Amino acid sequence: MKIIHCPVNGPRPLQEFYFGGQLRAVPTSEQVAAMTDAEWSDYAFNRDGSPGIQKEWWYHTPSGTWFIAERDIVTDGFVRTYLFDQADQESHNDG
Amino acid sequence: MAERLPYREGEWIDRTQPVTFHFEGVAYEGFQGDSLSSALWGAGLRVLGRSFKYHRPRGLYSLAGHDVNLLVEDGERTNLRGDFLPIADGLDVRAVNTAGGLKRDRLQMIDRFGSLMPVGFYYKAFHTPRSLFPFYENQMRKIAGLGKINPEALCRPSPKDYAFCDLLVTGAGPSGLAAAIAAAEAGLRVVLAEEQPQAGGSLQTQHARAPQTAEQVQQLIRRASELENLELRCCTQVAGYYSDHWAALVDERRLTKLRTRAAVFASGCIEQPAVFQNNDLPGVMLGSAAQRLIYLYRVAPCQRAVILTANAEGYRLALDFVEAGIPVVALVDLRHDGESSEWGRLVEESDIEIFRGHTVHEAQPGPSGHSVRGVVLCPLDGDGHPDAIGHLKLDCDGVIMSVGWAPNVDVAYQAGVRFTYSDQVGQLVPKECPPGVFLAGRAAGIFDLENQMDSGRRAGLQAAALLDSYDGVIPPAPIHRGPPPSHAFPIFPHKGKKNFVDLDEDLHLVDFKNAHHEGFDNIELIKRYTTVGMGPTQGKLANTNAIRILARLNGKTINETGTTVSRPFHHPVSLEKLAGRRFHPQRRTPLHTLHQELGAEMIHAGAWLRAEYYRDGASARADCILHEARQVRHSVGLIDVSTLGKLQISGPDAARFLETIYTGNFSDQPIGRLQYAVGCDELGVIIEDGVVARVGEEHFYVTATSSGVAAFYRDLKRWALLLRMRVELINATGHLAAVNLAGPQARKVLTKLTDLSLAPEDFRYLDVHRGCVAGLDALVMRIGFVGELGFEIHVPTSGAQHLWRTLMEAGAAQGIRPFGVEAQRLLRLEKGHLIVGQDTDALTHPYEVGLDWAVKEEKPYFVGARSLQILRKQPRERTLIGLVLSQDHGVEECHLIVEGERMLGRITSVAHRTTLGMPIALAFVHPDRAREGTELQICGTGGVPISARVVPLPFYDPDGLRQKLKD
Amino acid sequence: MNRSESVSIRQSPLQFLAAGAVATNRAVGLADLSLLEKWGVKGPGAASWLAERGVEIPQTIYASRPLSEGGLVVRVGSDEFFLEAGQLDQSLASLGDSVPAAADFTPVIREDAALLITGCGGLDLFAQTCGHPLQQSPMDQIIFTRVAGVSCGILPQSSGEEPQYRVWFDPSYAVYLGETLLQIASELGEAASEPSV
Repeated sequence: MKIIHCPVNGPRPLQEFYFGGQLRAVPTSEQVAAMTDAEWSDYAFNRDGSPGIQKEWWYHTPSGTWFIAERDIVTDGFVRTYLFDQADQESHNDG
Repeated sequence: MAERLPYREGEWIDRTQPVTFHFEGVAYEGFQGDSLSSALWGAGLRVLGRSFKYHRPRGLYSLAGHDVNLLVEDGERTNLRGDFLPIADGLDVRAVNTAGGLKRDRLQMIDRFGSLMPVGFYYKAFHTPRSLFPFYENQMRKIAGLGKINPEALCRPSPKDYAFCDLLVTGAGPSGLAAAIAAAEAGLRVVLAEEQPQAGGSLQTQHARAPQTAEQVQQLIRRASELENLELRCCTQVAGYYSDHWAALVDERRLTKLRTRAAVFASGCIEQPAVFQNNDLPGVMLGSAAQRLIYLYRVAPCQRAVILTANAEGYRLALDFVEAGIPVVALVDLRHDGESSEWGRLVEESDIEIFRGHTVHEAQPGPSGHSVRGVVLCPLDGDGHPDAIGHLKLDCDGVIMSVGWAPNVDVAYQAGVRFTYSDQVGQLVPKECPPGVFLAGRAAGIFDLENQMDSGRRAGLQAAALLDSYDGVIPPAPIHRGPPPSHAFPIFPHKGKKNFVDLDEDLHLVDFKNAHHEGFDNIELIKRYTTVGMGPTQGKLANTNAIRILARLNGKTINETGTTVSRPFHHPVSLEKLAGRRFHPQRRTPLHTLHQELGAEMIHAGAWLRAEYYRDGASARADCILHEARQVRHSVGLIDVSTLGKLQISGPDAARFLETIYTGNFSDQPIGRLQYAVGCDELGVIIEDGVVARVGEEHFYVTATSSGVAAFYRDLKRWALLLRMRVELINATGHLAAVNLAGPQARKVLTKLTDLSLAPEDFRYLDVHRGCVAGLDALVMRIGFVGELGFEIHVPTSGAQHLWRTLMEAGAAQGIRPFGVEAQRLLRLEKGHLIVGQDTDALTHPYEVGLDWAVKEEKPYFVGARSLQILRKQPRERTLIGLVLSQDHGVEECHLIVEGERMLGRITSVAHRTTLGMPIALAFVHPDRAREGTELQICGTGGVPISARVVPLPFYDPDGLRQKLKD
Repeated sequence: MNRSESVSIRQSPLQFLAAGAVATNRAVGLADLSLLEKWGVKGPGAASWLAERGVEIPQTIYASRPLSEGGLVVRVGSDEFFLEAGQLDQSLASLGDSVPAAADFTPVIREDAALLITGCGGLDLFAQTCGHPLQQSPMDQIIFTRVAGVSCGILPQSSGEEPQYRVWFDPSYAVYLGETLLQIASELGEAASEPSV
């Protein structure tokens, strides 16, 4: 079973985790208001699954810890993990 | 019983402990240490099984579990392999796949109709007439199975466990022992897994005759046992290898999930058969099987042997027979040049006749077809084709094959090792190993004992170096010198078409030619069309030859032909071991034992056990439920709602946070008041509902659905991060118990037990107060899920039983009754209250279920707002309505509402017997049909149409006077 | 309402452990400590408030320290603390009752089921129920993982030759987990009692 390195709890087996989907910034109310219905639908329903390194939300269930993992979705290899607060500034501003 | 060979030091049988067992209803004797195969062969039995398709008699072949000629069941367990099954007093087994027993198998006549059943015949036959297919199918199911499942068999929990180590070594033969010892001496914690009952591997069989070998084996095993950080596990297979060095180790007792940091595969080789006519007769076997019989079990493989070989091992094998006193009629070498090693010379000096450049073309069956009586030899021409003209016959009762090997590396493949075919060694050798995975010994293509041990030692040190436990010199990798131990193509056509490539599936050479001819010329296609390698041994004795045949048919090399993917498990693993102890976490409320005392019928509600209803004398379930509900309506009832999700949300941004998560307004909610709240996801779909109570300026107490709270809490934690809000979120679900006291007499009962004033002006509908109830610190809320005056009391779980008992005592005068989940569901249905997940589905948004009022559109931003904006404008496709049914039976949840062929909607909740005296339901229906008074048709149980009438909601007490009761 | 009254109306979720079940054998001992008073506090101001109250708090996440009057305090989050009394008659109410209304932290109600696992078979018990290598875990550091499918906090504590383990988990799982561990502990105890072959 795969091991994920939780930034708080250390290496743990996959069964202790919950996958939370792609990391995306929450659009601000202004950005949301400016979107057309079609643009909003795209945001709400679609995700980017292109091969390469994805930033993902993962949750360590026994301790209730959310963190970000960068994972190569082709090789299923975890590159690094960190808490959301410690994420790069740029990922906050993705619209 | 036939005589065993004389006693030999190191034999696996204990002659002081005879064992009696039964096979096919007949008693046999063997010794402690015998496997079923060795005991039966030692007793002189030759037909051990019937093949899958043709029901041909089969005998001992590999004695290593690489064939399943002896496959038995004991009435409880099936899929037992004779090679691995130890005999014990009381063992009573039968062969599978026979009709009427092994000897008289009625299906053996199928063998004569082989030509009517070419490869893939079942794809082309039995289609017509279609009416007969069920008959064909039934007959095929009877014939095509391998064993019967006993549905009554006891399935015990098994002690599945976890283990951890630095290095897993697979195989305790010479290279495995060397690797494990080297690594352990360098400080690693090593687990050495050996699937046989004893360590030693080929040292105990192929090399057994050499005088120094016995001592060598003992030395290695002794050294291994001295090392405290080396754990040897015998009778343990490494069944599969998974991500991040996770291995499944399976023994007779249990499955161990082992996390290691590195692995050495020293799993040796699987000896491969030659393909010639009747190469499956009892008496034809692999050389390593003969050696196991001779050295481990002291059983003579046959009386007069012909050895077919293409390597030095075959000559060594001949010398084993000589020493055991078994005459070798001939040694047939496929190679024109013969054998130039020391063993070749020794055999030449003996009186064994050697035929170079010859093959066994046919094994000739004895009178009943149950044994070998002789062979037909043919010389081979320059291209390796048999020349029938020069044939000659020899008498013998055993044909022993030593023509080649395939590395035993299916699990190494799962660990990520990739292979390439080497002509030099005549087998696949490792091409790429992922970090932390090493191969040693014959599995890596290293033959020659000294080299094997060197390669093992090297692999152990490499692992230790990788894990920073060794920084010394790593010895160089040994290289194979000399001719390849495997023949490139030991496969000979014969017009008799009983030259088998796959014994499991009864596939012979022409089957492959036919499949290829039909266009299945790719390794993946030919595997699936012929089913080669898909039988119980997963092609251990067949895949190598199949690839050789396909390569030749395509005119390609082995590397160009490729292999199929290897998947767990290496040998079969019982479901019992996989299930282990079967952990099914179950949640109970703190009142569980009280419910049982009160005669509750408990049901599973998700992970929880809840009281469904309380048994009342001999009354039927439906009567009990109705009785409980009536008691709530007329007097007072008490229900355990401890499974409710309970969240504490506090902090400076708490109100703003709630306004973002839910659709409603919370900033202006006064302290001491609560409101019903609806939560949507970003698509505007309802995911949660519950009650939000304000207990302080920055403190809110929120209830949520029992089944949804864990996921909801998890999501809230993420929202708090994303929104960067200062909130503390606490999931108190398991730490607080809750009961609901409901009914017109509720106030009378509760007022005796609390310091809070319950007067209507002090404790209004939708008020929340903290106080003391029954001596416990409690939060009390006045809400109306069931539509009556009601108080929901939340206390710490440790006080729950005391609270319940006190309330029941206090309410005795009012005839208080406990009521269960079913009564509650009925009562809320009468009030038209929806249950998220029952009356809503994965697409339901608030506007479909009359919750428009809960969505505060003017709020700047909340989860789902933008989607709700879009949904609001769209025409409704359905709406939730109330129905009164025309009859009190025959309607269930999810029954459709239809109009001719058109589906108008479906029932979401239904109650046949209610306190209102009429059957009711909630349903989704197209808005065109939602008007009050409309008659609708429900497609009921069995397709019976049942009519219903649309009525306004709620069914009961439309003005809500009962829950706001002021007296 | 005084302390002794409150104890008598409180019930442990692991009550069944004491009733007749053999909870201690040669291999493993299981003891129910659920009735020890527990309390939690969470928020940015929690650490300094506790320190002001004379509690020596652990500096790093997941570390534990003894309380001066008995019991322990565990830092279960960067801003969250869990306290447990050392004896049945020790109360943490003095802490709980003195939280100011406008504080930047909040009390957390703790009704966890609490177990103590002792004996040479403790690790064998975990080997069958927990996928975490506890034998490699340092003392006095809480580990949040799963035991038999239930989320738990496990605290190894040194005690003589073998470590002992405190385990806390949601009380609704108490009967399931308690019975499961008891079953396995009994089997280990039987195996320990048999003469080795």
